[in-house]
Amino acid sequence: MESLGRIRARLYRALKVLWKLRMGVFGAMIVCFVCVLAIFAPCIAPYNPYEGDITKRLMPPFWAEKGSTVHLLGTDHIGRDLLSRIIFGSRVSLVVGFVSVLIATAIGVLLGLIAGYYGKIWDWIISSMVNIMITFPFVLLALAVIAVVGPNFRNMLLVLGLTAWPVFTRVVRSEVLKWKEIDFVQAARAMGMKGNRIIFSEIFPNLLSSVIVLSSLEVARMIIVEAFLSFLGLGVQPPTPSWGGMLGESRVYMLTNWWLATFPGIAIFITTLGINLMGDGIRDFFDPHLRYQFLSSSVETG
Amino acid sequence: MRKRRFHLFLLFTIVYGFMIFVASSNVLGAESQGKIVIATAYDLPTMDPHMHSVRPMFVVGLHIWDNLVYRDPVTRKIGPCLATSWKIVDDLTWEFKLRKDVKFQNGDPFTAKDVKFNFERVLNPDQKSPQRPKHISIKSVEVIDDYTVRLRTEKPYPVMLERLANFQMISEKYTKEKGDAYVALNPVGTGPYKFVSWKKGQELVVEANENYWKGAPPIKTLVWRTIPETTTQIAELLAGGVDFIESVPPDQIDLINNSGVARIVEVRVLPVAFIKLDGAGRGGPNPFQDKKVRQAINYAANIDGYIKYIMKGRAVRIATWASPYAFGYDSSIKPYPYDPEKAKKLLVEAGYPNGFEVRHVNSHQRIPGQRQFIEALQQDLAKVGILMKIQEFTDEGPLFTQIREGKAGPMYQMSWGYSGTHDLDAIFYEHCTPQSFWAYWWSDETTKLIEQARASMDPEFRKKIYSKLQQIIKDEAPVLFMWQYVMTYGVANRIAEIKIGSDEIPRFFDVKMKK
Amino acid sequence: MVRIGQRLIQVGIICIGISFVSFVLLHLTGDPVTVMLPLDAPEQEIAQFRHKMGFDRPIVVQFLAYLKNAVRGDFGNSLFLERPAVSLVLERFPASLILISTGLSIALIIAIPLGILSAFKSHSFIDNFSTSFAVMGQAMPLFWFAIMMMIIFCIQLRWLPVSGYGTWKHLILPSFCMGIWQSPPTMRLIRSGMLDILSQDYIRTARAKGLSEGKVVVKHAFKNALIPVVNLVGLQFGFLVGGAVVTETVFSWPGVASLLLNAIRTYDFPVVQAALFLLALLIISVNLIVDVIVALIDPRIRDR
Repeated sequence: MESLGRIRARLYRALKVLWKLRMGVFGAMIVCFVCVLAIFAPCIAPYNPYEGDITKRLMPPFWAEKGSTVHLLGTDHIGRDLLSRIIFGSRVSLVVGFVSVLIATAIGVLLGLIAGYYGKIWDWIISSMVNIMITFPFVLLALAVIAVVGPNFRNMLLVLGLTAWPVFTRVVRSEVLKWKEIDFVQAARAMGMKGNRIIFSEIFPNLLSSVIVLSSLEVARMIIVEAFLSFLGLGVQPPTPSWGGMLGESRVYMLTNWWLATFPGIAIFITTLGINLMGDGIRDFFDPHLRYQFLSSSVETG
Repeated sequence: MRKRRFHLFLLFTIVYGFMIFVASSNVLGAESQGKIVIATAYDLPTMDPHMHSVRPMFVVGLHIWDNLVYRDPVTRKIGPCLATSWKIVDDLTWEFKLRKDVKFQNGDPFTAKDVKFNFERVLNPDQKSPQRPKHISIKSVEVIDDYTVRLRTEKPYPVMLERLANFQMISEKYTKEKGDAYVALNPVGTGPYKFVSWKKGQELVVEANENYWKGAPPIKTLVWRTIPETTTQIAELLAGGVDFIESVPPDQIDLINNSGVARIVEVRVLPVAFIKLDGAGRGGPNPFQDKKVRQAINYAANIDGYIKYIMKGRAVRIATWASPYAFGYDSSIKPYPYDPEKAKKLLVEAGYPNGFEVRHVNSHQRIPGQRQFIEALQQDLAKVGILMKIQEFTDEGPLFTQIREGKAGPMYQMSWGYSGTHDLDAIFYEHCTPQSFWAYWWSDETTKLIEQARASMDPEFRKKIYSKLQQIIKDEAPVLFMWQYVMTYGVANRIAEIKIGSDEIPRFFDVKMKK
Repeated sequence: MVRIGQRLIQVGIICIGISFVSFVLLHLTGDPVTVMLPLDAPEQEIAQFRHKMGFDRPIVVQFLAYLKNAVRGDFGNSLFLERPAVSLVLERFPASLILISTGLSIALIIAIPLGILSAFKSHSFIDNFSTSFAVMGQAMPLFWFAIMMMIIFCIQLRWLPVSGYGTWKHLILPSFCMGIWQSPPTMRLIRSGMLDILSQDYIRTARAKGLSEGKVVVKHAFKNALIPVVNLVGLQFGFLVGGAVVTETVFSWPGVASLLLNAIRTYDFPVVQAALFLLALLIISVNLIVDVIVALIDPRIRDR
């Protein structure tokens, strides 16, 4: 049974931490907002993003001359409501970002753990692969593959995931090397714990923070790569709304109907900004220097 | 400190907003005389006029070389050029009299021997000319004297003149002396412009031929620049970097017309658009093998709506795939009306009360408005229960391979230019007879009629047959009928007047500049 | 020496991988014979051509022959242009090189001072400014930025030509776009590299000894910072080739990247393969040069 005072003190501490990390919190709020948009899109979006009225094509946003509040952000080249398409587009962008990073993380972390912990020949093979993949832009080869096997969703996710894992391997490997020599790991080994167990119970939890930070940054990058693929016509295909796809379609219209490129661009911008800030915030949270400050403040009031 | 970051975020947002604001206003200016710069979206493949099949090179072709006959851009009629007159000796023989005192740009004289050489070169299978199929009906060329030739054909060949209007003449002596590889880089013709330089993938420069037999052309220098991106082409036109661009998308027409430096020139051209339906089941069983389904889809598409709202009026509705500019066109046949209810009824009758799913294939071509209209069609078809999935091939080449192997479809987007031949044979033969790989539907009756029309030299007889064919085609609906193109060209205002033919070839040797 | 060996092996592996994928793609997109001949060639001609080109041999044999030719630089003719794929690619190489190196230089010019300064004055105004700039720069797609620049500088202000190749004026906008696009990640890397160095013991010692900030920077930190920066150059080259694809297309810059993109679109796989091969060679060579330079300036390696 804790006294009210203690609970209040804990709350106070938590708020102090959040305040120190307010940029990260702000970023997290943006990300939550976008996720809410994605999940509740059918309820939030004013119109069906797949249905358009061609008599109402290319209407500008409501504050411009020919605009109206019927379509707040205007309509696209087939008369579909831009706001609704942007809201639904969050689904595609988030799925693309998260799934491809998931694939990359799974492969990358696994290989990094193996390379770092078991070393020797495994390290040599894996590190060479990483070096090769980082130096040469395999994205270009991926373009050729997508052009042939077809630019559908599944292929795109696979390709994105398969070209992004090297970064993870690198980071994980260097972290593993650092932690391998630490006392409690040595102790565990001396006690006779098997390699796999050591990896998973001792080393892995410490890696988590770097991996999470890296993942969040990569999600942001994937969203931009999706825009790149769409520019080349190899991204998400119509009529599925995706921010990258909308940007790609809009490039001729940049001269005449600026809103078609601007609003998806802003959506990408805000989302990636939010993800980056959140990632930075998480990193700061796990930073040992700052942790010390948090812990010390808890000692004071505790 | 972190607050500062926030302020900076605001600052950057304002900067972005400003950039967008500046970019959405307007302004401009113009340049010098004596030169016209033309933008082309594709690289020119070669300077050998027989070894390509791409339209930009045909445009260049009309400027460096001459053909035997010439199509007047305004009247669309064929008139003399290197050939001054011709007569039909009998059903299988044509005799052409050639112009005297014409010299190639290197001094070689143009004679009947050159004509014979040209045809034999193109028809020679070892030469591998992509234009060979177009002239394959010509069996032999006989030199009667220095300025007279006789062309003999396999069967009666009513479209002879049409085909000759786009076949460039090169010099026998020059080609034999220098060899094909040299000729592919250093062109020599009898035309109004002579070759100056060619930086592959960048620009081709030609200069006026002072000794041209029709008289020197008014503009001294022509430059063709390769600019692949539409946005960049438009930007260049607006900034004064180029004077002529093609295929302006309908949505950008107002921008150019209001710019003060350039305007849109619209030309109704021969090519037509339609969507092939796999009626013959070449790609496997599909709903379009039933005539009712094919008709249904014609009722379900709001073609007039697309023309009005997406093409902004830059297209002419047609009833079948026959172009109004082609010989044999029957204007009394009316197009399918837009009637989604009737479409649904027909689908139910055909056994598809809940519609079906189908794949539509197209390639990333430069036909203006294509993407937009296909997506609009997708919407309309969804309303009658047909779920159309769009697959866009990155370019024409990959799509053609699929077409040839019968794997395109069951719907694929076509625009057919008739190879510049203003005659219905050029579409019926290639799209509706069993041996042509373009064809995804045919019938014994139509095949018989097409062969009859081909083999006759009597225009009245042919017209009657083509009328009958158009009636049958409309009823059978082997394709989703659409429209005849009105091509939009962006022309700099310093070019006061330019003639562009229904063959989509602008005549730069015949422009009038603003004083 | 070891490094050179390593790099050569890398080149080899990359090139085999590229060949394998190109070969597979070529055969996936349909019978290569039908693609190479004019659309309506008769059956007999097709059969003859197939035999002449060796497409009727077993697949593995074909692949090995393909590989052997590739090593000698013979990738066959472009499927559409009747010219050797290699010469098509080599023709356009200089243009890409100019664009990429200029872009890289601009990126470094922006990123190095900003990166170093923000590392030194951590959490100051400069630091916030640069990091914000970096974060925002990475959230902006390159083609959007390029077209925006084109609209502002070429159409509105008419200071520069829209597209093309030939004078220094044509080079400015494309290389600036590439440079500005690449500077945010570069700056971030330099900053974190610099931060690492500054937290090292010998820097603290120098400061403790009472050396002025300036001397600390120049004498100790800077020289050591050079190594990661030079390493960076090798890495960035690869990314820049990716960015060149967009830039060359938007600005009609006649380089290898736009040729590659076009070849991918038209399924012209000999050209795709030739372009990727040569790009791989280029990138690895640059990295090799970087390795050599690092070996020369890094005393730890030099004294070995």
